[in-house]
Amino acid sequence: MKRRYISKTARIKKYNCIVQSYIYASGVKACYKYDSRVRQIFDEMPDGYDLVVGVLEHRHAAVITKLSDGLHCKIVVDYVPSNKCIQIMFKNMDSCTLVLKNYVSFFQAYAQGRFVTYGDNAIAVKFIKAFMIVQCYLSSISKRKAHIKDALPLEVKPAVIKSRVLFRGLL
Amino acid sequence: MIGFYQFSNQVKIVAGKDSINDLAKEMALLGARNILIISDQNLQNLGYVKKIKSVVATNTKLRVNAVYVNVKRGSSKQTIEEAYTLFRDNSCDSIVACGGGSVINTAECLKLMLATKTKNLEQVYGVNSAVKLEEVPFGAIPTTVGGGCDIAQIANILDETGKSSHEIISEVMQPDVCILDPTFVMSLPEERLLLGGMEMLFDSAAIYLDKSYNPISNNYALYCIRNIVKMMNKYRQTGKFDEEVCLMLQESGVLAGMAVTNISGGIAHAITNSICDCTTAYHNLVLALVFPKCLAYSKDREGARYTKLLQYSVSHERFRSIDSSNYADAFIELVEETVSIILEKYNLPKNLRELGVTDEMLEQIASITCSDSSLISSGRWYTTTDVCNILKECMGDEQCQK
Repeated sequence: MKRRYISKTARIKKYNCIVQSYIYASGVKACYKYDSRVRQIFDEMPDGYDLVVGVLEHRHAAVITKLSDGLHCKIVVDYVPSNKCIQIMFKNMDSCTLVLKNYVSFFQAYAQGRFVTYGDNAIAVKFIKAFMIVQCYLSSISKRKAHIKDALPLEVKPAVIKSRVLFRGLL
Repeated sequence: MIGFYQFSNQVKIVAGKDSINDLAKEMALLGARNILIISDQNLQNLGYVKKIKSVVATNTKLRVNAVYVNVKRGSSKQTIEEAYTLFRDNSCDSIVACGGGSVINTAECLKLMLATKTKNLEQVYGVNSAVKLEEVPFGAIPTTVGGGCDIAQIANILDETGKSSHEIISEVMQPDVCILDPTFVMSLPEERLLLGGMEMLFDSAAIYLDKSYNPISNNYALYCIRNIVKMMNKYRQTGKFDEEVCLMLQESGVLAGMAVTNISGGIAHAITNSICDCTTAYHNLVLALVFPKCLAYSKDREGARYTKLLQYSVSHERFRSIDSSNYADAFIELVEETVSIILEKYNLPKNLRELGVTDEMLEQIASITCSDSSLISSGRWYTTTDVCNILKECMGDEQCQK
């Protein structure tokens, strides 16, 4: 079987996207513990509900699963969608990188059509809001102000979330 | 990232008096052979379905295989599934929808299911996630005027309970051809036509004020405002909605629809959608009650952008006579005044309380509003408290405001 050629840059970008998706998933997990708004969004979901973040052309995606003991995140290859999931899939790697590196906010990305969503839109909107909160925690003050016109009040110091993502999420 | 946007519209517009006669030709060009007509009982009684059948009969290649007229207000999943079964059972290959928002929403969702070869509507829920696998020729004949439901890529579907709706956004569902024949809207009551005009005006203003605006949508929106103002002047001169005025209204609807389908309408639309979910009120009437209050609420942040809207809404002489520091206030006043004249003239509800919204419903409406996708693209973080504050303003009583 002929193997599809992928350039080195594309491969680096791909791994970058996977790592960043996972960092965000860990961010959601950390915010679930410290931010009441994120907790409320996920608590409304039934147990076993999946939130999938990835890139359309990739087989890998970060999956956040809501279980009775909290949120669990992992990287899944070839995710099989069920009727209890919302998928937020970026159209390409560049869009994914721009959003996950906080150059573009989740709200802007939605308006600009940088990602597609699968599943009930009302629930997807709630998750996008949760991601927006996480993005506010993970981005710098200047970017946070640029993303949201009215400064979004943060319930804990961003350093708490960042350190939790670094030391608990990745390890 | 400034400068990045998407704009899509793939609908062919056929407009003018008796443009309905072009329906057969347009459908044949799209490759249609066996047509399913979707409409509602009212329109069938008015003879519209019969008219479409006679037009289709002029082309020997076309045949009306089935007619579905059971669409009720607010298209539901069940209605779409019934239409799907009828389409399959009668070996149809194309759709002609004649009606208002509910009829066209139903037809759009049916097209989405057929084009994606899906039997379950839930599988195509999402935003731009549907992949077109099959061509299904689809012609739309709007019989109402409003925010461009005829060419929109958005459909709201009621669930089994009939209390909450699911939003589907996809380019795949758009009609291929849209027939704007003024004779199809002339039977509407005058207040519905005026409120429809107002809805387009508010849609356009909301698009212009949206944070995620793009230059193409902006120009459509501003041109729509100009067109509506022209239409209103014409109406004032003639005192009636003749064919010319109705066509201008329909054209404005297309312009507003093209713009709104690529940008969502912000806080006013989010609140309007939520109220329509909780009550049986008409979308354009609710928007007329909510929009002026939303304008006033956002004045401090977006007041500077009201200038352009005012410039397009009034004559040059009147614009020059207004003090530059009062542009925002003048625009809000103009909107409030126009709305109150229409509501007064036709004895329509003047606030949400008169519309049947109670204080107990405010929390629920605010909560639905906060999960509306229109709020996401507005780029602001609205809390339920913010929405409740706007709703209390719209309730129209001082006690509630306190």
